Amino acid sequence: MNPVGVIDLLSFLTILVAVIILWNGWKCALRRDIKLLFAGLLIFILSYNLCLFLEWSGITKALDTLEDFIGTLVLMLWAFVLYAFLQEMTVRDLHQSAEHLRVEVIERKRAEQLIQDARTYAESIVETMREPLLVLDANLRVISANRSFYRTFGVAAEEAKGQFIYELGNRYWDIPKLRELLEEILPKNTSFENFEVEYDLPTIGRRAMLLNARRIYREGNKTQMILLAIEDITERKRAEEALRESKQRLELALRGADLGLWDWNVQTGELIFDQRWANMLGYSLEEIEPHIRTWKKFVHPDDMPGVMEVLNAHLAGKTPFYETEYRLLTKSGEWKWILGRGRLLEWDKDGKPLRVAGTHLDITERKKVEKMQRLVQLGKLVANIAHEVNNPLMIISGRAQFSLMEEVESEEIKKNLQIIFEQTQRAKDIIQRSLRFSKPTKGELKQVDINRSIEEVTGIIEHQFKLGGVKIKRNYAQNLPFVSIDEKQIQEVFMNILTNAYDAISGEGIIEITISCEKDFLRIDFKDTGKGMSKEIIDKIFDPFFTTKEKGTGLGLSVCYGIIKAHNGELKFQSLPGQGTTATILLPIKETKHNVYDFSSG
Amino acid sequence: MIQENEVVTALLGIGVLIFIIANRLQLKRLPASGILIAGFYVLLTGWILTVLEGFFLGKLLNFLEHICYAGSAALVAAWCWKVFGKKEGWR
Repeated sequence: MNPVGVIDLLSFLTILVAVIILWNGWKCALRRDIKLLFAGLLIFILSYNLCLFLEWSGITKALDTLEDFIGTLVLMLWAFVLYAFLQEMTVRDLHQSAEHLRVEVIERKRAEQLIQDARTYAESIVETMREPLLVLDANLRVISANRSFYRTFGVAAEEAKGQFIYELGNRYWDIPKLRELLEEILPKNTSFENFEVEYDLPTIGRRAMLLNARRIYREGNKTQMILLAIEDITERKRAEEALRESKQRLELALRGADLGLWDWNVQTGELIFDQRWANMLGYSLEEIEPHIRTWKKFVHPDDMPGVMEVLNAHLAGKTPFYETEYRLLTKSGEWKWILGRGRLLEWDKDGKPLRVAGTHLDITERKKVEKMQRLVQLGKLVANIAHEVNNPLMIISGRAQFSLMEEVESEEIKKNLQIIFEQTQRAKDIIQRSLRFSKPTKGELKQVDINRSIEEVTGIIEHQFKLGGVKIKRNYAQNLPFVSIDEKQIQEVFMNILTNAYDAISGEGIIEITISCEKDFLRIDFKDTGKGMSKEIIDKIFDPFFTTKEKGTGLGLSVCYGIIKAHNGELKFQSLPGQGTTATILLPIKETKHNVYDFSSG
Repeated sequence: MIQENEVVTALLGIGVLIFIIANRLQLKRLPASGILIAGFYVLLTGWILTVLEGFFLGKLLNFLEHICYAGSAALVAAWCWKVFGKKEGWR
């Protein structure tokens, strides 16, 4: 066969395959008329190839004219098919556009529904809000308001809408400062908060309100509005006022009672003090750490066990409240007596103590008075005993003296009588001191040169002191004013202090006497190089019958204290163990009335 | 020897070619448009060769003409396979 004929046969068969493919894919999405047109094109190509094959394979040449005709039709069909495809694409575009449009419409409807839902939601919130809300346009005319606004201000919705804000109701809103603020919001894009006003409303009376306003911009129609929110703070203000008054009353009560406050978190250890608590101990509030360890640091070590026992008993629920007296260390190093009271106020969820609060009261003065009252009682007792003992003692002493004057043969009896006489004299001396302590005599005042007076005392004892290894060093200021004193009593005080200083020095030592003038007082310091005293001993040094000596009566310094107080003076001791002691006497220079010191006066 | 009907057919073919060029952008959106258009170009080439074989190289150009018809048939069949023979062809 002619090769061209073979090629034509192949062409024919290829197109036949295409027809079969089209037949199989007839159900595709392409429009039916276009598929038919395309099928027609394939049939004509197939026919054309068949004609060519028949011609070139030498089978027949009779189809030549038909071949030319089909060839022309094939071309035309190509044009139709391509045009039909173009139309199909256009239709498809239109369908797609319509689909997009449909989707857009659905989306838009959905968006509109969402907007509507949001609007309904927002409106329900606004309507439900208890705070009045007002929306104004750019000219400050009412656009809308919520129910709360109409109810609060007694304005009808129809009446309010479109109304100028300043003309609303009883011209409540016509306030110059508010006008200024409102009129600035839109031009300057400002806002304001917590503008407080008070309205006298016919419906609910006088109310305090806070106004907050800000600009709202609606993108849709490009309009600006003002949202005005009103908060009724009348009840809050009343509550605040009541709280403030309550606090003030509490503060006045605490101040009146001079009570310091404390508030302890048992679990964290935080302990809040108030200013008075701190001031009571000489501190400022900033100087003390608000913690339980601060309090523990201040409590006197001797008092701590007792205080903790009372506190723990209360925390354990054994006592209805906590109350105890103890000493606290002040900033100046002195001890103050405190009455601590408190109560457990809160427990945690496990029932453990959480919060205890209470007060502190400075009872130092009361303690002093109590001590003095005890001393007065003691003094009375001593006076009674002394009086009762003095008479028989006088008889014993007199009889002993009388017997000694008579001829006594027995030396043994004579010696015993002498001992009786001496001991009764000693007992009389003790009784005299006791009587002086319990009932000081009214002294005879005269103007005295204190340097001379003290020299008279040192003149008596200096020799004996030197023999004991103790020197007296003098620092006397000259030209000192005279003081009005009972010289004998004051000399007894000097003697007592010097003797005590001598006794405190073991071996060699120095007693330095300094006399100086200090403001309105004459100051006499006796500084020794003795063994010194602890703070605990100093605290008790003036207590009657308190002594550290084996043969002391414990009345010496009590009597001295009474004498100096009777002269309106001061007697103080400063000492540290191992560092000697300084006794200081302050006597007023101005002539004062001499008092009989009354212990009950403190 | 030139046949008049062949010239007319070639001229018609050029007319369709102009139509294709004018709408080429839209035709490109057809699935596998390149294969289909190529099928037409090859067919048109065959017809042009038919006209030319009357002037020179008669046998060769005639042979090439039939090759072009076969090529065009193959391209059209390929396009049919791509468009109608597969599920994802014409959507």
